[in-house]
Amino acid sequence: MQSIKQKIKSNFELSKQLSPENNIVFTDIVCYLRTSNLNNWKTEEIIEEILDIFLSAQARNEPLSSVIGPDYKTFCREVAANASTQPLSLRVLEDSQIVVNGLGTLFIIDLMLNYLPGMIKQQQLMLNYSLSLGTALVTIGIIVLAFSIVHYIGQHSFELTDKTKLPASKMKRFLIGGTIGGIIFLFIIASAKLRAYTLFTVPIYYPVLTIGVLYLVTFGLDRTLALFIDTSDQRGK
Amino acid sequence: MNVNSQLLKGTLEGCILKILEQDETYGYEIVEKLHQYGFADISEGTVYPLLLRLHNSGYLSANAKTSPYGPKRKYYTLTAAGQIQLQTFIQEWEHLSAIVNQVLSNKEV
Repeated sequence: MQSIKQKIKSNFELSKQLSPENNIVFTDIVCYLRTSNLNNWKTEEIIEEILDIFLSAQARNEPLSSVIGPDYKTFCREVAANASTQPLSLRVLEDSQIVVNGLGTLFIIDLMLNYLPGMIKQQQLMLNYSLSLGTALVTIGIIVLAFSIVHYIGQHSFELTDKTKLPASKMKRFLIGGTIGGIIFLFIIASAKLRAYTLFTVPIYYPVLTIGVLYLVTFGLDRTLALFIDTSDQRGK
Repeated sequence: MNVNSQLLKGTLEGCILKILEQDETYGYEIVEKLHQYGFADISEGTVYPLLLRLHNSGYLSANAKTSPYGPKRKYYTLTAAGQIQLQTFIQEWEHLSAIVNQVLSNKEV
């Protein structure tokens, strides 16, 4: 059984056969489907099938609009709606992997920015790790913001690459940029102000072990569920 | 989605099951056969989601083979549940078309 990473790589390599024009549509579809409710494995399987439809149409010199209709987003919605019988638990699990990865990355950043400088400053080995309210708030904020941005871009991929659509007005762009900038600024201020409030202090190996165990659990369950899905597909044969 | 497209999709599902009863085939070949039968405006964009639905419902089994362009292409056949679903569709269609024909020909009940 091919892994998801291998499938993503293989789909990307095969998509290079598409003409630049068709590749734009294909990329938009990939973005939309990857941020839909479908689990990763099902998404990549569908992307591969759509790629075959596109390459076949290209070989027949048929425009994509005559193959999947002029409204690509509606086509994607139909595909996602009709393919979404796989367990939701898998999608939740896949998202939890991203959260665990995010927590791990932000923990390392916190170690480098706060823990290590503190140890250097005190010139002694610190065996305890303190999580401040500010750091916790920023961590949650960054993860939520990253999820929201990726989801927004994916679900609006067609509008964002539509050259016939007029760009947003200066005022609208200013308001969007200002709001995002304001939220980031508020987080920075809140983080600095709330850094003095310590939520808990634990031995340093506690968070390392917790993140490691969470990582192993989520990835272990993912492989089990991927096998379950593969078996379900085989049962239909 | 309007009533026409709902009706068309339900009908198309039955037609797809009938086509797959005869032979193992894939999306584009199904579209070609539907064109030959007179469904001139049907494209893969309509048929592909229906195939996903029928496969997920357990009416079809899929066999993935590498296409000439590299990606895997699914070839579908009817399962036992698909056979039952096809017979149900045929009965429902005959019943419905008989009623509609009666209405259209202004025959009294």
